[in-house]
Amino acid sequence: MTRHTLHPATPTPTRSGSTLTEVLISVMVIGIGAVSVATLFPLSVMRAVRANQLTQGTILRYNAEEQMETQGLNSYWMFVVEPFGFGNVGNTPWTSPHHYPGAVGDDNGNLFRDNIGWHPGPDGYFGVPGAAPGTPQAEPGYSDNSYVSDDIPILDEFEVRFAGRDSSLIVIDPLGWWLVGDIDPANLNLRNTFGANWPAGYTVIPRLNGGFRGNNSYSASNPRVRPTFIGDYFDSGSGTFVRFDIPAATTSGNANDGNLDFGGWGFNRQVAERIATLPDQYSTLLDTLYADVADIATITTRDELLLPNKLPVNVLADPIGIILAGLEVRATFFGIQGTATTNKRVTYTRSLLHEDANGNGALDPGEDIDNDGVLDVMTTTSRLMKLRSDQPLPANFQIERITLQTQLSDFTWMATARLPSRPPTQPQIDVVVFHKRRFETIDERPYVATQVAGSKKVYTIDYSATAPVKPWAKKGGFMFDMEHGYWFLITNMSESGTTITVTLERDVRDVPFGPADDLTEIIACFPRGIVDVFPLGAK
Amino acid sequence: MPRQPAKLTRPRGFTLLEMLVSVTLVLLIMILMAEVFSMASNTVSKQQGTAENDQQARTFTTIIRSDLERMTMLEVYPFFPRSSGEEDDLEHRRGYFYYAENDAGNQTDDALAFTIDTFTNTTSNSDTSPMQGRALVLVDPAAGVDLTDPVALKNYLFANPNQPEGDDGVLDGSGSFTGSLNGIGVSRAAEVAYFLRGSNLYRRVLLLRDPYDPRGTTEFTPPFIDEDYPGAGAGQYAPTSGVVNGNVMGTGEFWRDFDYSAYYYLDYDSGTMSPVFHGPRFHSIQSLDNNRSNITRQNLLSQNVGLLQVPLSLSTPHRRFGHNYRDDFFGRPKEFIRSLAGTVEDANFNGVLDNGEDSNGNNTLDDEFIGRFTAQETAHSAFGYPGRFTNPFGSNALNLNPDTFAVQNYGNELSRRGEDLLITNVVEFDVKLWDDGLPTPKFVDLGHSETDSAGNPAGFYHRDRNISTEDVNLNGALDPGEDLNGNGQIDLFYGNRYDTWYPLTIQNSAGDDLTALGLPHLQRPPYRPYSPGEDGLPGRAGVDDDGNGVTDYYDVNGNGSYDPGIDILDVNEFGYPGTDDIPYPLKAIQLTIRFVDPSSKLIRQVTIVHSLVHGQH
Repeated sequence: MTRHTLHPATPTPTRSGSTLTEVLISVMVIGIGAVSVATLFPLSVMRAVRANQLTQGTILRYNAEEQMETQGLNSYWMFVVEPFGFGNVGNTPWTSPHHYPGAVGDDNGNLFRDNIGWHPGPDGYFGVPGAAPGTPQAEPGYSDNSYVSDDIPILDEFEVRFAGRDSSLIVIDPLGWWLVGDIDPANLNLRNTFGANWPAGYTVIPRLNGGFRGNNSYSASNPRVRPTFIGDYFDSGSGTFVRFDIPAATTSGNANDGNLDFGGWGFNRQVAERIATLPDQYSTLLDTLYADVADIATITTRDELLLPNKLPVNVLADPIGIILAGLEVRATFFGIQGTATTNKRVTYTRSLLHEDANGNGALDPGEDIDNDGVLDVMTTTSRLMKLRSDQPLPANFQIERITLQTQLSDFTWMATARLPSRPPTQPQIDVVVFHKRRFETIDERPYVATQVAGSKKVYTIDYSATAPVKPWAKKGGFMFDMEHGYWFLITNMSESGTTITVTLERDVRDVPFGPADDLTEIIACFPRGIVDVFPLGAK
Repeated sequence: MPRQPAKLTRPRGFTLLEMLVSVTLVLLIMILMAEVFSMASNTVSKQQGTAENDQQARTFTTIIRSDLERMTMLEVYPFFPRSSGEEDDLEHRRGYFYYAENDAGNQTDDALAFTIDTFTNTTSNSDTSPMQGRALVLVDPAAGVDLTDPVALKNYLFANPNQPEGDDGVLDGSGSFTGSLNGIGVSRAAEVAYFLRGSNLYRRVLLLRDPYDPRGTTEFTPPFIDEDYPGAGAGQYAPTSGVVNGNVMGTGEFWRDFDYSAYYYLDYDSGTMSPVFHGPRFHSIQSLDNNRSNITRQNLLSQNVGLLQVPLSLSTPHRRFGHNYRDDFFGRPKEFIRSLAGTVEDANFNGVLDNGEDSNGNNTLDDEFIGRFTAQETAHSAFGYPGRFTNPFGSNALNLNPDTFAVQNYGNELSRRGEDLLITNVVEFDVKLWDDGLPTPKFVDLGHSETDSAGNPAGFYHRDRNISTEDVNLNGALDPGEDLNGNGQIDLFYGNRYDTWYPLTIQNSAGDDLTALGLPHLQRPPYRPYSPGEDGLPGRAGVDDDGNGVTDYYDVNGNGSYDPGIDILDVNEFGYPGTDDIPYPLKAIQLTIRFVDPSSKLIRQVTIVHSLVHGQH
């Protein structure tokens, strides 16, 4: 038997392993790829954030427009009469059931909505002083053989007030009115003036607060009328815009008597925030599943909620601290209502209460928010959350999840309005939406921007006078022409020494209805945090 | 000789060190990548959630703003039924504006309803495109039309265009007909209602007929289905069989076949006071005119004051979608049905827990909020109204399905399902009013309890300002004869709701209005802010304008002169012709919705403000 000898395996060709260098290079290549892929994510995040900001900004822009319409701020009539400073809506209310946002009366009770083309003149009356409203003698410009009115046609006055410009500017800035002035107490006039440190020779821009004009309390001779005006007016005596004096609230009579007296209208920071912020942004202080902390968490009564000890104290300290500071905290309860056989998923939203606004430990008039006669307080040491006694949680409600949130004022608006010189042209209004606006004077500081020869969209700003403080110009930001009231998007920016060069998105002369000159030099500011500038359409 | 084995070259492997370094590096990269991708996917998920929420927000704002821009009620303040309408400004006060806050502490039980007309405000950028809705051909059987013959049907429509199907102007009276009738009606005006049901926000639209007649016939009355609609006996809308040759025929369920606002026309015999059944009638754009024509008799049984005359216009709650059209003096809407436990606490439909209604003592109205009936529910064969003489708006036998949040009685309907659904996963829909009667004006819930610095009720919309109550003289106490239902509490007739009301004094057949009958408070709108004007008194000073026996004010202290804070003004006189009283119109509303993106669980809130001030007229 032949014994076969196993053939040896065919010799395999020599395979060399990867060297460390090769591995390292491969890893490096992979790393570069991975990093470049990874960089796309933040980019997309930034785009998403931008998209979200624009969505929110657009909603706020519409809200701003509506809010201005409610207050009569978008009307030609509003602006054209306001500079005359007729502090009160007239004592004689208009007799038509219409409500006219721009309706105006003089200090003596005459309504001159229909007489918009006239100023009552030095005597303060239309027509014959003291003439009964509604009579021909009370009409503006009334003259007869024995009496010649001193009323002045409004167009002449208007042009005088605005220095004969083709258009004039007003900034409607409820929050800025409060905050910019607050930040710089030495500059309280910033409340009434947009921009500080104006170069000599320029007319400052009045800043209006978009607030409310009140009237005196009701009496038979001084009936309550409707406020429709912004809270500032032009004082022809001092030549400045001044803050309207808000009257004190008055007590009403019998609540049920149908006599709808009420206190004077006020304008305060809370009102400003309500007007000028998007109320949809919240900071979440607490978001927890109730079941997780159910060991101690109980509802002691239907209007009190004892939060569990298991929660970290600092979580609780914050909302309570905020409540004590006077801000509202919104509690949202997600859960199940009903018995096992008939339950449904529901959500309740409540405000947490802290009624001792002045911290004196007593229930003062106006503090009893839920009208239960009891001072509802939270302290920093208690976990007891107080709900309104008139809005308790229902008895058969089982809490699953709680969120505590406090409102943020991230998105805010202000508006710039170019006023027409003659009716019936409507004011051209731009709503400027900010995200986390900085209410600082530098944002509205006027700088001289000089046009680069040969280009109508490139400007240089020499800030040596204020160095190292420099204008906040940046690509994607905005430049505001403080002389003519136009906003320009900055598409490029470069810096050399103390000179900044900005390229604007559009030629300054291309602005519709813009100024006729070449704008070789303009006064401009560069506010931060602008999401976008929305021109309002004609309503 | 043994063969020499081939010489093997041993391949060189990795050294341990190389392996370790490589593996470590790869691991590091993997960890890094995993981390990056984990963060990225988290971010992407959140981004998607944010983007989805943004999309929902844009949908909501676009649609509701478009509706609000087209609102017909331009001067939003309530009518007060009275004898003359000279100062009613009917031109700017067409249709109605209605808002139900119900429980101010509940952000899920608000309802908003109003009428829209695309040509209300042509100066703004509002949407002027017409609205479309379903409409089938209505055929009079006496005409002997073969309903299975599409050509005959089309020719019938051409000859009888005064019906919803003809309102789109698509009428072809010549040539052979091969296609199908389009089943669509077009209108420029509608009733719109927004309400939350469960976690769904609905937008119910019911068109008002806007007849189109190419032959120049302006006569389009009656804009309703004729009496004794054939095929189903007197006063009933009848089916015209199923689908024939591609033509969808009437199913016999009115709101399955028509997306139109309609009501069941019920008249009463003036002698016997017994009902006369007519049948469904369409509302048309004429129904927006809040004038004093088109009066019909109504037997509003609850007050036992005989036959009353009620206008047919949409200003009257009885005539609107969702409101009780019979046996309810106030025409209250059916916004609540019985609780899941089967109890009915809100027996008087006013949306408020009155004294004695809290059956289980939990201080909460347990009835289920439904807002309005959805398109699915009204399409159900059991619904009937307005095709048949049923009254789901007055029924206390409706149950909610806790899973689907549909009204169980009508919930298994398959047609029209979800057609009116606007946004899903909504946890809050809240309407607020701008109350500039407050010391610091703000948006508030109707029926709030704000006070001024002295602790007195403040604002136009404080709950104490609701004048639609049993308290005739508004002195805050139940005086003899005022407690109509004997429960010992001042009840709100119309609930915590804002309504622009109707301009007509309701009279009985003898011509006596309710004031003369001693019931002046029955026709007050719930909230009606008014100033007494320069004379400080409602109506004309010194004149008992409304003839209720009280001149200007109730002289509480009997000293013969008006003392603010002590005496009580006679609110019925506000706004009478010749007075200097001034109404305070509603200036703005604020709508807030909160919804959750189901995948990312992100919550989004959207708040929009809408001004009701419309510049200078």
